[in-house]
Amino acid sequence: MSKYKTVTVISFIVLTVMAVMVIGAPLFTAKDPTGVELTKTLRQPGQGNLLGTDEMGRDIWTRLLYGGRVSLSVGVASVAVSTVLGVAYGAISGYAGGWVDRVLMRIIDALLCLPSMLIMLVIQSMTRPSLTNVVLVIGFTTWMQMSRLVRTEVLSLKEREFVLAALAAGTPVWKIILRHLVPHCSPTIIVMATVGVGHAILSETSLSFLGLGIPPHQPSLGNMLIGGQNQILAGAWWIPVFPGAMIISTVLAITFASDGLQHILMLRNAGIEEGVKKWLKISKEAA
Amino acid sequence: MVKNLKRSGLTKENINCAPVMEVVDLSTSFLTAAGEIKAVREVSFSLFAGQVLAVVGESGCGKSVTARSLLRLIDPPGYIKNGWVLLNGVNLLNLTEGEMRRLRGTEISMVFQDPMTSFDPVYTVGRQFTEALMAHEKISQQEAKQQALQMLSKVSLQDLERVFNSYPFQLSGGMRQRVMIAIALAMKPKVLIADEPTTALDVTVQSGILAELKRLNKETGSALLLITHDLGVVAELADRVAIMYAGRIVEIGSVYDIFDHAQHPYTRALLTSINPIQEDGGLTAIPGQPPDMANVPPGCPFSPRCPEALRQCRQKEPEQYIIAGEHWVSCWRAESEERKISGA
Repeated sequence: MSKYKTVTVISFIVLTVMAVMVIGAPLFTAKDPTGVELTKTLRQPGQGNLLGTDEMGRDIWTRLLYGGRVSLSVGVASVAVSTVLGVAYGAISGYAGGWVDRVLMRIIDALLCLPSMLIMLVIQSMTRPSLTNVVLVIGFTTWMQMSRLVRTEVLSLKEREFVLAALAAGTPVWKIILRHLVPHCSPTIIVMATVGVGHAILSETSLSFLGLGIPPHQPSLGNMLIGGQNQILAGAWWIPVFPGAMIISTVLAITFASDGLQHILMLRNAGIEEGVKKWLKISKEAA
Repeated sequence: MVKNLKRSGLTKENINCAPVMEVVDLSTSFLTAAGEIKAVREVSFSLFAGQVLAVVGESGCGKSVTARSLLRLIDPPGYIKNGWVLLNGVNLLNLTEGEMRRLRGTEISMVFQDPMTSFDPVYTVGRQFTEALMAHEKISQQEAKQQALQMLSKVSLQDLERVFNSYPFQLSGGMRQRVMIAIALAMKPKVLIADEPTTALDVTVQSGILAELKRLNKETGSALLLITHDLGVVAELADRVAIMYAGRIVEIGSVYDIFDHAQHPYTRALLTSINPIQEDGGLTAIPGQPPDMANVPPGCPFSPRCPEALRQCRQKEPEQYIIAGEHWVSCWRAESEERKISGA
């Protein structure tokens, strides 16, 4: 348990630091992420540019902050899309049960058969690349896992007596789903969403790396990687290494954080009821 | 219809006070891999304002399914096969789902067996109370809270504000059940269904809850359908008693009819089984097992366990015979032409 705690705490610290730096990017750099300075191309780290410059003379540190901003916001926004979609779909499917459930789940099976990266590539190659498009494409291709998990939880939750009691009191079905079933799934939803942010960031970088994600003039971690791959043979290792390291550390931190969350929320033990008790105890001690 | 109404317990004595709810020939089945399970078979009874009808029977005899059928809360693969559930003359089985939903909680309410599981553990009971109120009335959170507190005071709870802001696990079983009853009665329903309301509670709390139910039942004039397998509770609370066996009501009558003049061998067996005084000091059990509901034997379902079974009991299902007034029984032993419910 203590091993989990240390790793989780470190992950959360890493994520918080990154979030602060990325959100407050102008505070940490005075340079323009898209500012081309052809007199200062391919500078080594140090020498006035903290992490060096790329082949167009743009400051890597600045681009890393602004690119991280884009990548993280794509990660969070697309997870928001996929969570809303997945939770709604899964809750309806699980609550309805019977043939509705069967049809909805077979649709998900079919969608999961297609590699999501392939769908993303096809859609992205047909539309103009933009931030919103990337968010929507990632969101709409990654909601199926969430939906499956929520459905299974709802399937068992809807048999609990308080649902019957709510029905017997005349509570509308939508209210039961929204107010009783979905909140009970929240440990699952939170953990899945956190894992999803990591995946979404990876998807975004992959898409951008392939030139189908964020438009090339905008900095993003994926764009920086592809920009760097031509220069690496010329010895400019700093161009791909820093964005690469940022991607790895972000995704790893998110993965460990979600692992820790899973333990904190006691997903495997008692679920949300124990969580409420624990929370009450903590708040009482704090008071 | 005349025959059916008669069977539902409508007789000269109570023809003047029309029943609040009449259940006529209600059948509910479950379609399973093992075949059709007829959980409730042609059940008929009436509920009168301010009166308590207790439905008694062994586990699995269809008591709870009957109760849920009245609220139309039967989940697939179960379905209500036929019958009428008349509330003030309106057949609930013909209403749309939306109309039915508006009746739940306002006209018919239900109190469940285990007050721990019938509350959502992650919300305070107050929030669940106001949610139930606001589902039916366009009132503000504040007004709903006022109404809720007023109802909570009626079920003899103290420290209302604290109870209102408590999570279910912070209250004792008895308190939870009182809150449950308060919620169920908050909209002044015409019919209150209590499905084994005291089974999950210990005996001292039980009597308090029962007294509360009885008092509120008289006070609000709602009809109470009490489902139980505890004959002690029945004796304390019920005005009339229906005995269920294998999905059928085998005998129905006033509490005096049932306890003093039981006609059906099953009723008598139930009554002797709660009487612990036997010569060797043991309990009198009913021999055998209740029938497999997927495969109910022909004839009277109780006949394989019945000490008084006749040959025809195993061949033909018995008809219904009026013993006196609203007391009738479904047993060949009571057979006689003039007692037969006409047209049956």
